[in-house]
Amino acid sequence: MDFAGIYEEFFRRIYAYINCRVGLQAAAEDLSSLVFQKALARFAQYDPARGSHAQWLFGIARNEVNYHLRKAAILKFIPLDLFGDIFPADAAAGPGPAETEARSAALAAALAELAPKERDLISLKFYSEMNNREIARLTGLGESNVGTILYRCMAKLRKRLTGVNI
Amino acid sequence: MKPDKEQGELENFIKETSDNEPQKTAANREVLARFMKAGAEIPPGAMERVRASLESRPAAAPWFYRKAAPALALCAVAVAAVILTRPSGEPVPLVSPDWRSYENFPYYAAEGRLYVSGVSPDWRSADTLVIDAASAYGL
Repeated sequence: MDFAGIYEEFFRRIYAYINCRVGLQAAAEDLSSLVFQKALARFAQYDPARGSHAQWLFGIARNEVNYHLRKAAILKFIPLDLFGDIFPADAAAGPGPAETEARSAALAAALAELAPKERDLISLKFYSEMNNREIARLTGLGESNVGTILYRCMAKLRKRLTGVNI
Repeated sequence: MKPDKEQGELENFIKETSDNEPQKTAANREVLARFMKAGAEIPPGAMERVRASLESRPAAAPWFYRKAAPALALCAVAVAAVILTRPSGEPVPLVSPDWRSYENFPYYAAEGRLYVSGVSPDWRSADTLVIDAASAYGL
């Protein structure tokens, strides 16, 4: 598959994964651009024996997001309204942002309640569609640990989004 | 957007995390649907903007300074260590080249006699030391 085909297939998924973790569409677009720039620069070195395109791209995306979040923490530049608008601490306390639908706001609120590691794993699971072993290899966690975290994460999301308790 | 084999992975995931309970399975599908819907909602033009940035950007150098910086720092430290520890000038001989300078040649006569006569190796101890001009200078 050439790079153009990879871009067409994976852009939405990479963007969605980054948006889940970062929570700002502007930052998600910038980071997506960085991810694909790096992927384009390294495309000649891509080795299918080492992993699928999804593993490769989401590995780059994960590293970029982690670097971005570490940099933001170091610079202590976290806008006060970042999590208020996109990841409201309590969605029931007030109306969601005007430009997003109620369902997206509810999802954003549910994601805000997850720990960063849970948010990382669940968005990797849904958007990269890698199995637990591949996710474990990418994140450095154990396979059973990944399964446990995802299980608990789904329970929380079920309860928050659909009201179905554990 | 998703190949068929990857559809199976998400389907398995939904069933595994619901303990095969119908109500939980349905709730999991609802959660998945929300994620997929959110994933489809990208800002209009974002894909084209990023594509344009890829096409306009010059080919990145294969060598990233962020990764090369530690190696370069180590090389600089190694070079500095070699330069700073390099001995300067001519080496100073430990022994004077003047072979007639007797103080440079230890006189082993007394020690040799003791060795031949079978004196204990720790003859230097204060108990066994015999300081005698005749034995010391072979007189």
